[in-house]
Amino acid sequence: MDGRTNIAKSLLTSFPLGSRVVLKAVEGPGVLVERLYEMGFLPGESVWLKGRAPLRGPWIVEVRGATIALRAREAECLWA
Amino acid sequence: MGVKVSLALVGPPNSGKTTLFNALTGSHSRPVNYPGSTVDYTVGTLKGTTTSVADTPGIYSLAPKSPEEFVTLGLLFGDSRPSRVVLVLDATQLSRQLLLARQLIETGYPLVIALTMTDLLGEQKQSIDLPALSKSLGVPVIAVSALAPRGVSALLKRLALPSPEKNAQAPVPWTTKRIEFEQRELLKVSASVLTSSAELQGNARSTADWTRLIDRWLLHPFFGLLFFAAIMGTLFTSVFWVSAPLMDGVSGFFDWLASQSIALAPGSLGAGFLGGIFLSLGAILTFVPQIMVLFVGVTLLEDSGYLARAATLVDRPLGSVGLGGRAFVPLLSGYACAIPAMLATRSINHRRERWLTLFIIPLMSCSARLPVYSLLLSFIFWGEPAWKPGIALTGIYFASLFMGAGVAAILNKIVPADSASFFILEIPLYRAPLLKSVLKTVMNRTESYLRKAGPAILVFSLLIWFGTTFPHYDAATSSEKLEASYIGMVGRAIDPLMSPMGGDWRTGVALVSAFAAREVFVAALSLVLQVSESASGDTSEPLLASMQSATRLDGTPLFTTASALALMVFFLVAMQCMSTFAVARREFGGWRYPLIQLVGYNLLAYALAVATYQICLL
Repeated sequence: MDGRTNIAKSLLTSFPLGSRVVLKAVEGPGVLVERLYEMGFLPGESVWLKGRAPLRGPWIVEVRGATIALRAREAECLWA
Repeated sequence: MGVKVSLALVGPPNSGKTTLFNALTGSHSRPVNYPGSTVDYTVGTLKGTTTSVADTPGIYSLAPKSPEEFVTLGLLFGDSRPSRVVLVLDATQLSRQLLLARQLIETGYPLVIALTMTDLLGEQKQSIDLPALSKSLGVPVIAVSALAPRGVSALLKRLALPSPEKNAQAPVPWTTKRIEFEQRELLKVSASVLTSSAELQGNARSTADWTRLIDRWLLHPFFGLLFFAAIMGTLFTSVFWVSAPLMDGVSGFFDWLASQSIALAPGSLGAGFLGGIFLSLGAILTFVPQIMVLFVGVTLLEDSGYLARAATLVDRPLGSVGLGGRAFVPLLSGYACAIPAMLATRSINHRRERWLTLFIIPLMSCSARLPVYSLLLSFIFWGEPAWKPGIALTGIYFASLFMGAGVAAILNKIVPADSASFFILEIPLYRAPLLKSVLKTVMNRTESYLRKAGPAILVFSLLIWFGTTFPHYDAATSSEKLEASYIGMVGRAIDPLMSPMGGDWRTGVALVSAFAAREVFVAALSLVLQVSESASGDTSEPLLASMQSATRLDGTPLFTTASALALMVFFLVAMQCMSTFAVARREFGGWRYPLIQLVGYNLLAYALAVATYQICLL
């Protein structure tokens, strides 16, 4: 058991735009999680859900001072 | 690869590697703002030395996840490893980017860290303790902000010292647990070396504030798309309008050179060959002004930081046919020329998306088709107001877009999905592009286009010149020469194929000649029409008039609205450009897909042209 799985959490993308939240978990395919970790998306990290590109495009998230665009699939690896 | 480099500049995308590379080498390379656009690596010589130094595509870690990252890893841990690495890190992104430093240090590479963007650190009222950072990592750290040229000379001095003789080990992959642990440690490291101080700067708006302000509009769900359309519309129009007079000048000059050299000794093989060389050179150079204008536009967008935003904005629409935001620049470039467009696909980090983009690039209506469209439209709208062909031309461009989208959508359904693509794109701060650096970039890219496409275009143009000239190179008139040439024979041979789409052998000859370059269709058509229509030897009859009066054997007109439409449909889809074929072979990494493109698109073009003609006859 991971220990993390019991924490109540919801998708980052389910928060209203403009929210600043603390990540609780990063879950998904291995390569993706690895890249997200490398980019600074770690559990415990504070992120800012800045917006979303038009036509339900990529999400725009700020972490550690960097602005990063993520497709829904990547953004849905992030739980807060 | 071949070139042995002794020094490699390595760093995450947008960290300022290329700017530093320019400063260190004074070479013609470029700073890039769009993650992952330094395709291949550039090699230069360190100022004042003979040390060779390479600029590499950006990497986030030593675990590569895109084709470009593999290029860098291949250089670092391949057979001819550089003896030292300069790791370029963005001081404002220190806590995230130190991860790469840790991984490189672990491999044992002799390392110097160059910290860029320290000027932005000042804006954020922060200062950095370099000796402390250096001590904590165990490698030298030098600040090289664009505003502090002393940093560059300090770095040069440091690099002049002999590097420690150490053998780097291949990297041991880190588990996510390890990455998580290190990231937390590095947050502490960066916190301990960065000091905030309120006194450091005035209260002017920082670059980050400006970026936030501008993005409120440019990434706005509605206005963002509006600005996008306006910016790209401007770029697109200038690619055509700004470059048109230059292109006319270049092609006119080479036509003149060719006719002069032929006139030097009429009928002689040598003079004819010289003329053929000039015509072929003209075929290469005519499109250079346009490609340069395109490069200026794309580089301005890149260096300002807008291109990453553009890719984000269109990711979803392009995603609906299996492409992605990164396909945008290659597809846009495809409207000027397919060759730079194909080269630009290298920044697409997903294999299948890149494959799909490469596949549909030949369908984008490149500018070599423009002379053909304008001839056929002037024919159809003979004597009618100018806005009519204008609207029709716009329609053609949209038709090419729909054709591309349609083919991509179909392939997207047929071709099985491999590993899912990921789109994680860093959106940099806006920065004013430096004119000097933009110009350097444009020159570099144009040079690389000429190097990559030039030989292929030259060879194919010469082949077609040969085919249209021999065996009867000494014929009295150029039209007789063409009629009796090898290509003339091919044109006659495909005559039965031409009649279902409303043409005859003359259309066939012009179509086959267009395989040198599409716009050759116009010149070939005028040659071949004059021979059959102007028995009196009057060759000054304008092409449009010849098209009006040309008839088939049974006396019916050869060119009608239906047959002109069918020809336009053919040009819309056909893959006639042999240079594109050659470049596609390299980019696909084999003959298979370029051959499928060549055969598939030409058959489809023929089928659609026949259908168009037959429907028009109903």
